[in-house]
Amino acid sequence: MKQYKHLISHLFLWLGMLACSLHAAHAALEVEVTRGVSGAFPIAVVPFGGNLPGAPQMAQIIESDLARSGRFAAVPQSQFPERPTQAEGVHFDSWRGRGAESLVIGQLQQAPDGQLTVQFRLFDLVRQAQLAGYDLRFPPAQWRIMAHRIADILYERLTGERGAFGTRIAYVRVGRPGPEHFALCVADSDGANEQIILRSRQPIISPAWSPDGRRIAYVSFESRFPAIFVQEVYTGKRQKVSSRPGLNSAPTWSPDGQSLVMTLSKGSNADLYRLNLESGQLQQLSTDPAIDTEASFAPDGQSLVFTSDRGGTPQIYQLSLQDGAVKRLTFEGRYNARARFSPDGRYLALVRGDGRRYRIGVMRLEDGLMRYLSNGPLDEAPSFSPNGAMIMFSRAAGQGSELATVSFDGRIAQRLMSRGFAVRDPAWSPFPQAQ
Amino acid sequence: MREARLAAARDVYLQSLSHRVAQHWLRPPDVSPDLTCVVQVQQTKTGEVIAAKVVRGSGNAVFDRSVEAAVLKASPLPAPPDPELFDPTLNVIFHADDLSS
Repeated sequence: MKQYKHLISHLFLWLGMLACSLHAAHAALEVEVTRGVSGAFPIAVVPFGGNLPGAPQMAQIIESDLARSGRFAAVPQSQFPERPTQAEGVHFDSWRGRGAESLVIGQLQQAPDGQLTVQFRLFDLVRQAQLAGYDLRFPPAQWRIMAHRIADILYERLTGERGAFGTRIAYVRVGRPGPEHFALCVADSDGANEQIILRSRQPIISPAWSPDGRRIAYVSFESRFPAIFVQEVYTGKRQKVSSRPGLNSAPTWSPDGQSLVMTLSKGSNADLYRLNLESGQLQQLSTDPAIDTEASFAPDGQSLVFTSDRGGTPQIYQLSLQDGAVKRLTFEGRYNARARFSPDGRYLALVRGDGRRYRIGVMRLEDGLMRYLSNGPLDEAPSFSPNGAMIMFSRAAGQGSELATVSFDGRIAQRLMSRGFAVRDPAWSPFPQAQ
Repeated sequence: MREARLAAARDVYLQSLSHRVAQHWLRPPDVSPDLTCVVQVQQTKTGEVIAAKVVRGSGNAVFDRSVEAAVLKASPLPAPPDPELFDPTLNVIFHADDLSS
């Protein structure tokens, strides 16, 4: 009996073990994970090698581009265990515990013909593998724009979205009274490489890029009355497209680049008009006795949003170009103005004021949910980067104003530049079109 | 009795694994909420992750890379409350669905 009992317990033990091993063989433990942490992706950008003066600066530009987007956090150089400039010099184990998840290294060299070459590599430090490697050749004068392009490549590789650091911005700089009191400028997306494309003693306002990025429409008071011009960015060639009596203001391009919508008063009420640039034909879009202005096309071209005080205070309205129906979009706040669509058409960036301060916010069109991205007190003129990841705006600084950027999630805000007395009316260019 | 205790311990173990991995998962923003990715993990008795491989990808390379990295960074994984629960192979299933916050 005793023996029997022993046998049984043995049998059970054996069965149990069998069950256990069967369990292990057939169904691995399944762990479900639905929550993660959100935050910036830590990246180490090692100063590029090579004896050329631009080498360390290139890595610096790449690093600050990535950090400004809010999607990346630059790991400080004091955390670097080594400063490799070539793949052979990377020791993955030494980067463990340094906080970086990816690593960028590179080398800048000058070829005998004077051209520069940059070789850069991107490594995944967690999986210990190379993710990308490029060798690029370019003329020395383009080293800055090359750094932005490298940042774009890295951004796309690591986020899956197109980078916009290589795009340009336009803005108006206000200086001392004189021939260059007002300057319409174009610069790299970080504010460097500024070029003045128009100087004037009189105000220049509301620059707007054409969808192909080759032309800018703006309002100039050079003849003392406002007129709308379209200027080719690279040749400087320009054309006056509207100087009707009264207001000629707030031009915006249709997505096909063939027409401008603008506010004209023609001596009486300020309404929205569409001007066909080819034929010169003018079509009135709004007729309300209130002021309708600051139009912006939806990316699909089917509607536009604009600011109107038809309800008593400035608010954002949407006009359907299909049936002419007008719908009010903002209901909170005494002041909502200067709305711009996000590139995907799902959000509006706008200025909301409560009488004390004016802040930049993004409103989700689906449900009207508003998120503030800036603190005021006097923020103006939001403009989306063409990938929708950042917003540029101007804000009061000292006696004048400066440009600032903020990431779409509002986490990373940065002053971009302050030059002269004031920098205002920023407009972010579209992506360059494929040749 | 023992079975119930083991089942409870198993729940605790799965939760601690999930928590540990989630803490190391730097989730990419703006990914479609229906993405799912399964990573097969090989671990040693002490919880060291020796391999992590995506066995069912989400179709989004950035998302897949983020979850693979999460598992590798979570090493060493927590020990089970009962040694009997140890399994050298784990399947970690990541869902993108709770990304709205």
